Amino acid sequence: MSRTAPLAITIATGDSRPIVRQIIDAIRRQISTGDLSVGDKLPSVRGLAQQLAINPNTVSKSYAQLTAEGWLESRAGLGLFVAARRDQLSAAERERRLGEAVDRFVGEVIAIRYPADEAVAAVADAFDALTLVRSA
Amino acid sequence: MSGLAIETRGLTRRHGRKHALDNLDLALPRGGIHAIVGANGAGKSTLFRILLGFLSPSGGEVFVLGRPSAALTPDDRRRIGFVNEEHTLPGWATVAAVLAMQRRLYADRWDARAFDTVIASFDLSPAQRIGQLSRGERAGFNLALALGQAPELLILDEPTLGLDVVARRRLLDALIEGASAEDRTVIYCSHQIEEVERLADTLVVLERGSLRNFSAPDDFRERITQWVANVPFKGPPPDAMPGLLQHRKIDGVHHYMMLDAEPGFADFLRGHGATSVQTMPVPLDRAVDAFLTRNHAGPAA
Amino acid sequence: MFELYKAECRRFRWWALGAGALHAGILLFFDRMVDPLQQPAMIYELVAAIYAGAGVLLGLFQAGSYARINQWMALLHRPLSPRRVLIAVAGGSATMLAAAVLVPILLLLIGHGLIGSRFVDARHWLLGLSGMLIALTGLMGGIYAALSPRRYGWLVLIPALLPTASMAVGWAAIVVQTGVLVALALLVTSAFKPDLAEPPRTITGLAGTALTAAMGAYLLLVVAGDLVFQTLWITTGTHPLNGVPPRGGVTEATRADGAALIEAGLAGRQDNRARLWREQVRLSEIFEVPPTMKWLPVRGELTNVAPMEFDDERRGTRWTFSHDDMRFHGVRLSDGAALGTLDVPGGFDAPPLPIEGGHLIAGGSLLGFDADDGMIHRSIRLPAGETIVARPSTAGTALAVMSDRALRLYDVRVLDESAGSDAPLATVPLPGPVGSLMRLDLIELLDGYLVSFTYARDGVDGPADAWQQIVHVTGAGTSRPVARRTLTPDFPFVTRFAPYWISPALKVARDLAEHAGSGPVPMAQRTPVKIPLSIWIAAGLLAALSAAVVALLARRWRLGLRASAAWMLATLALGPPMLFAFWLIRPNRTA
Repeated sequence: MSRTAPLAITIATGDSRPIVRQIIDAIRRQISTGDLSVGDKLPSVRGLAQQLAINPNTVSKSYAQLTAEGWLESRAGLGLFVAARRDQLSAAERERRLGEAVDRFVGEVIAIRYPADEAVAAVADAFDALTLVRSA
Repeated sequence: MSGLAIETRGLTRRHGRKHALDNLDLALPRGGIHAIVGANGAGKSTLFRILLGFLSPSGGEVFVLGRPSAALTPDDRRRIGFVNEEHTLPGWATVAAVLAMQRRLYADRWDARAFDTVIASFDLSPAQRIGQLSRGERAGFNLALALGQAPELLILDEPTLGLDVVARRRLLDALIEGASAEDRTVIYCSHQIEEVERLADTLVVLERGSLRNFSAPDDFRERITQWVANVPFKGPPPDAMPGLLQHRKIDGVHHYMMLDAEPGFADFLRGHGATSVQTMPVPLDRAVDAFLTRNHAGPAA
Repeated sequence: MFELYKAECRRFRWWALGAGALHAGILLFFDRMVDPLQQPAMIYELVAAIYAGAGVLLGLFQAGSYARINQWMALLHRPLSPRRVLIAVAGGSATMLAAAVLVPILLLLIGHGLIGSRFVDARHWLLGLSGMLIALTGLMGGIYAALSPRRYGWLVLIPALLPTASMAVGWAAIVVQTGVLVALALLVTSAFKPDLAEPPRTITGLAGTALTAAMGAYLLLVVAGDLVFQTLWITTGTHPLNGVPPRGGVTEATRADGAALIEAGLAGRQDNRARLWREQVRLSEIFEVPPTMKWLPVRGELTNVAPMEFDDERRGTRWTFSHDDMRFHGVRLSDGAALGTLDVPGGFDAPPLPIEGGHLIAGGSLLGFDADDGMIHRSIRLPAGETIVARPSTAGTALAVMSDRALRLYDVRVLDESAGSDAPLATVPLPGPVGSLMRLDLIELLDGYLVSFTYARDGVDGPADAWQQIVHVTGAGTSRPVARRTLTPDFPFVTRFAPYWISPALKVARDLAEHAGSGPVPMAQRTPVKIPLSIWIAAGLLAALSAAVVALLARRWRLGLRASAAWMLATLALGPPMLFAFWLIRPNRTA
């Protein structure tokens, strides 16, 4: 039986995001950065609830959503594991979300009067950094 | 057997002219952690006293685990744990004596593992007298005793009041440990919204003895939004804004805290001359705070 | 439940040990200095008050520590019925209190009997038991005071003072005290429930509480009402007993000097003999014979009217009377050696009460201790069934001896010449019950005596008729009434009959309770009170009015039909005190 991968995430109360959302974001991020690899076993609901000092039902909800979105998969009797990447969203939906993200980003950059080319370069750097981490 | 842990119908309790509870209809299902939140004097303690039969309602009906609360039998009480904010235990008795009594009383359902798990994080010796324990130790012991009796219904009246960070965290751990038992219903009342956010499945908001909210904490949070609008001059009159919880004017910018804001609220503000309108979600503690203080006079604009 | 009991015992064990040690120390100390078993009643009453006070304090402390809402919830929210919790908790404190009171008393009694040649009567063991009962009654009273609703709890506790007013003696006193303790424990049980602010839930608990509260309200109305009236009179300067008492009244008669009183008694007669008597009254010495003593010793009584002992100073012997064998037991004062027992031929009819001059009163006999031969001799023996009720006193050459039936005059030498005849010079049958006799005056005429009986007890502010009777006793010893006048009561009609019109039923209940188990008390023989019709009508009207108010209140409080009817009937029977109790208890609609 595979060992549970450590899940180094924290949550903050008083955040404007619900705890369910914070857990989902954190796990997605860890999968994206490679901190969690495909096939890694996630902590049990109870375990993560204890670790974060939150209601186990909250963890269940986060796991359920991540499973529904395809980030995690459940193996009967064994627990939850990081799933092999499959594209869950339709092309149109992905395009819409990218548009939203770009809009938000552009709005922020304009607000701080930053030159567009430097902003684009910064985005490229950030993606490079992610790739580095993943390959490391 | 009723599917409800707690049910009140038209529950009213008057202290003289004042209504501690005003026509309260509450139905808490079995299972899960229900947090009750309200300002001081919202009727939380009164509700718990009535639930356990220690205060008689002035009107209405109350059922606990399907039984009228005035007619709770010793056997019903066996299934209900109660922890109050003072963690009342006989100060003259030793830890060992209190534990022995509790084990004897709940011999048929004593959950030694639950008790041991909780008590392990507190450093108590059996020969100590309760009166010599610190507040945190007493709280931990009290909660351990309550969880050890493996109650179907556990009522906690501000269990972490006055505890330091360490003791509070231990108590929360203990609660999370204990609350995940099957079929257990926990009713929890606290001023610590942070705890509520971490623990609660249901957020019950009481105000002046009436029920104001009954939903998951996140659903409650979603009902409340913050709006920042740049409105020259006065802005719309407050009574034209249904759902307005708080309004503050900071550096000439209007900040509105809205309950169930209508979809066209941004247009409404622009219609009143707002040159810019922004909206954002709020953390739970601010949502609760805004909700509970909406009828209080805010700082003058 | 046993754990709870043990925990409560442990809670108070050091207190009990400390109090018990202190108690034992004090008792044993006094046993060295005086004889604790031969003290006057007042000492025992004082000690009982201390026991009761200790019980009340413990009860208030213990129940008070639980009465706050969080403590109360922690105590009662457990899988035990409230009754079992009460038994465990009150049982714990009661055990500790009983031990602290009873063990030292037992040590005292055992030590008293073993050390020295003193004896312990059965009644002394009962006295110890009584001390414990009174302490426990105090405990229950304290618990009730701490737990019962403030509105009426204090009222319910008033009737618990019955042991202080009860006339019961010996075993009967134990029964009365046990009864009060049990009743109080049941009242505590009825108040021992989760919601302390509510009246008792059970019908029997509610009924018991209501009836006790009604009796408390009655006693309060009678006693406090009287106080209020008197205070008002005094402050307005119209008190009937202020300054010169009204003419022809009871107070005038009781305060008058003997001559004036007899003259007033004869005022109705204008004949020559009366004129002659009046002249002699002015010239002669008037003897006031002491009236009835309130209490006489009763065999097996727990306490003593007075110490049951006297000293033979010539031989250095102390003689102490034992109720068990009805003999005096002698102890040499110098070294405590036993000197046997002392009796009188024919035995004592009743425990003898030592009075001045080495004399003893015992039932129908007047006895004397003769220091010359060290024996007790019988001076006078009244006919069977008669009891001497007062200290004999000399009236000139005569010795006046009061019994519960007659005044007898003897030659004073009857006291000295024990061998001589004890035939009275004259026997004057009492013209009324001895308990009502308030004053007795007597003058010696040339040919006999003139005796004035003033029957006025309970006639000043109470409901009894008062009158004065003059009796002429001839030289031959025969007597006949010669004048009688009615004394007018000084207090208004309304206040004199207040105990009756407030509630006749509760008046009867009170008298029954106080007299239950009383020994042969001469003071209890009273002239029957004649209650005027107007008082009955007033009582009836008040009861009806009270019941009507109860009906109104019951409607306002939305009381059920049967409960309303029960309260109304009870108020109809018991009058305004029940209305008062109802108003204070404010029963909820479900009861």
